[in-house]
Amino acid sequence: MFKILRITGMSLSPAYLHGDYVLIQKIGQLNRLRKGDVVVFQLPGYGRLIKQISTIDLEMADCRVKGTAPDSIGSEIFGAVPLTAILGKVILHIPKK
Amino acid sequence: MLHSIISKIDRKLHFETASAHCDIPCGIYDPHLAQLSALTVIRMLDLMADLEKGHTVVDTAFRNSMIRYVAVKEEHAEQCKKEIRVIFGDYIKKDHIEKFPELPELTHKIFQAASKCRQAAARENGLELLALVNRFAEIFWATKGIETKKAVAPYKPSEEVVYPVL
Repeated sequence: MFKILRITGMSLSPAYLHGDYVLIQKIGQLNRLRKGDVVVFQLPGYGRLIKQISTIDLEMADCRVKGTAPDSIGSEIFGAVPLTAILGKVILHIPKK
Repeated sequence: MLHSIISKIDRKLHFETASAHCDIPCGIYDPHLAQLSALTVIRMLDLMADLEKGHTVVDTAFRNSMIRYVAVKEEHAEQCKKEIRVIFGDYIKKDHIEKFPELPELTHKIFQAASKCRQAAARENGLELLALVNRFAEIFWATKGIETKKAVAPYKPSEEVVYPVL
């Protein structure tokens, strides 16, 4: 499954900026998660977020994520993200500039 | 070039978004401050009316009290608008509006009712504001799957307030 999404906000700057598009692919056997992947996930109370994977815990079936901008937030604020909450990982980045 | 093409398609198909916000979405939202502000507006309107009745001379003491009541009424009417704006802007999502389509109009009515409370001194304006904010609170808690109840606030102006059943 593929999906195009538009990024809002700047917490993944400088690489990903507000207004950029990303093509995501659902995680599966042929598309595994790795540290450093940029993923889109759904978190209750926060909505649909896009962050970078910092660690993966297969035993707990979750991962920790982070933003790349200096004042961004990540798992240190909202905790680990269940792998089941991940909608997909970015396979193509279409920057505005 | 590719972004430009995707952007044109986006304008037609309205792609979903993924948030990379830097704001700290602490997730702490509660309409109670908006409700307290609406109650305060009503309380000030009552105090203004009482002062008017109880004073036969418009002297410095009268003006001092009246101006203070009006100032607090102004402050809390605006506070009410701010609290609702933050919840509507930061917490409410598309699926909430799909489930409760009255939300955008209700929010607008709250802003208008709060402004009316600033412009005039009628108690019914304050009651209307509280009724609208209470409805907003009911919807807010419903989005979290939390039941609500109505109870009379244990302080003046002793009006009915929607509370979550936790």
